[in-house]
Amino acid sequence: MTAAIHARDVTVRAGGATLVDQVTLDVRHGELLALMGPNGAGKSTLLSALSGERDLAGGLVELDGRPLSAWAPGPLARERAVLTQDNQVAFAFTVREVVAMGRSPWRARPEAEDDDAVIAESLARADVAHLAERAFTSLSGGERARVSLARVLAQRTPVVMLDEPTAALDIRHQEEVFALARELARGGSAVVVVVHDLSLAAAYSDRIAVLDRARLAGLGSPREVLVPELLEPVYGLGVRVIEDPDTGLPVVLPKR
Amino acid sequence: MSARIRRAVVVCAALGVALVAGVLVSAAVGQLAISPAEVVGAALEGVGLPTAWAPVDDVTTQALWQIRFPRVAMSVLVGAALAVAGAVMQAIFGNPLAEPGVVGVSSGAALGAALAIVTGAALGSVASVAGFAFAGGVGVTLLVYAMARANGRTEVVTLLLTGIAVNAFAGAGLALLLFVGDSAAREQIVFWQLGSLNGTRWPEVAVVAVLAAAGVAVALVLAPRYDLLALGERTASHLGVRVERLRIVSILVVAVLTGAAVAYAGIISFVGLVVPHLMRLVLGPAHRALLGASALGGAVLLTYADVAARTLVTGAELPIGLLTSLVGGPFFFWLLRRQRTRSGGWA
Repeated sequence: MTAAIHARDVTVRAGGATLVDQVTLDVRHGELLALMGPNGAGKSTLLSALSGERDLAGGLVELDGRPLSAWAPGPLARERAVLTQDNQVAFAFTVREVVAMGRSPWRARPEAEDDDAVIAESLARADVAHLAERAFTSLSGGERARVSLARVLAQRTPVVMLDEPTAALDIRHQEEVFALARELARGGSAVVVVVHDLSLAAAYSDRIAVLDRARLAGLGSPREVLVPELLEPVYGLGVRVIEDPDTGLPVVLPKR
Repeated sequence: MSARIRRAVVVCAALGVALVAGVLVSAAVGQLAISPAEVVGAALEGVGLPTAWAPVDDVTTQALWQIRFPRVAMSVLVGAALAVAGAVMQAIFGNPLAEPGVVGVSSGAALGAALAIVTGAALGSVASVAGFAFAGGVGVTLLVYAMARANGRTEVVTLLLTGIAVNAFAGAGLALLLFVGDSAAREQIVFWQLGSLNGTRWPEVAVVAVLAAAGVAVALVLAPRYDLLALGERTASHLGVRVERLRIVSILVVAVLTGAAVAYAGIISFVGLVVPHLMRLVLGPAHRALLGASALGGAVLLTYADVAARTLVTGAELPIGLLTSLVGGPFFFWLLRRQRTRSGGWA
């Protein structure tokens, strides 16, 4: 079966620096992959390379078996949705309008008939239905992040890329967003999430990719990757990995 | 959603009524007093529908068709073009403070016009002045676009500073042209800059009508993409918008609309700032309704401004650009303050 995302030797350079260096990975449909690593390791850059936003200095990215360069913007927007880190909206659009913008790639297609239902469902799933008529610009950072997530959900794409969707969220909403991401994956989507919280990633993702100074330092299940031998040199910090008493999944704590 | 559509319909209907009333008043007032009924009659007669309202006297018909109607039509077109140009500029810069006049597009056009007046005095045709003004407007629009953007976004400070630089440069150019020009050219430049709809003729109206209609039509087609652009250009491109292409086409739309308006009517500032802003307050930021309502609102504003320009001082005509700046200046200041309080800073 073709991987949803196939990246081979992906290299990205900017201003003489190599931001992503020969990264090879596949993301399958139905899988939640967490992209992790210290600040500046190249996570967001790799994500933008996978989304087609950045030009590659080397290597290849294929989406559903076709190189990214062969995708026109319209079909690409129906294939993959991206949540970026900046949740800015220039004018005082309402939350509902912002989420409705996620439907724009489907305009003038049969799927557009479901627009209203999809928008309502996306608002509910991201827990922002109660904000629907509020102006986006009047929301808090966490609320904005969830509205942007709702917009991504409304896009209804088989590939979903989320760049730190939980950065501004409280602990409950962090859990909910990851539960949602896993739900998307169980529904057949390929989901890539950039996240810092190791234990959160361990609890919800199928596989974890760890980036260290532009290179892939580890790729595998949470149990395989979240081990002190791999994490300590990457983060430059002593860590303790314990088992969650309920789930048996790894929980990573810094050695204090 | 539907509430907003309903509101848009109501607002547009109200603006339509205001526009019709303004047009009637504008055609009726002046040295030769003409009743609104006669205005309607003359208009209908002109399109081949004689009615009892038609003016009895030929002088009235002549005055309306040769002087007042073209002028009224020009005020409607120029107002619509300027307001839509402002709304488009705000959309592509993602900033409510962007306006052709503020960032210097109008001064660029003025420089072009002055150049035509001084150098091409022999040709002396209105068309060459308009053409040069148009070229100046396009040139400056592109310049501002190139200069004010860094890392794919435009900060207010950069934008306003770019405007200052462009205005200063254009001001220097104008001063030079005033210096080298003869007194007739000087007078022409000065009055052109003040902005006036006086002496509008039908062929000019036709040119502006074609350009304005084309510009507004393209803007309306692009409207849904402007909505997406409000999410930032990265997200817009993730949603399938070819951002760079959209920007370039839009810049051309702004240049065409501003150039067309400014070429014959001179500098009329702040319409593009005030009108879209008011419409946004009433209708929300969704661009299709905003652009449509701005076109109507701009037409209404300029029609009444022209009436005011002709009637405020008896026996003389105020430059219309003076009036709009008189209102627009303080408005711009208020907007700036408000923006600052909201975002907690200038950026």
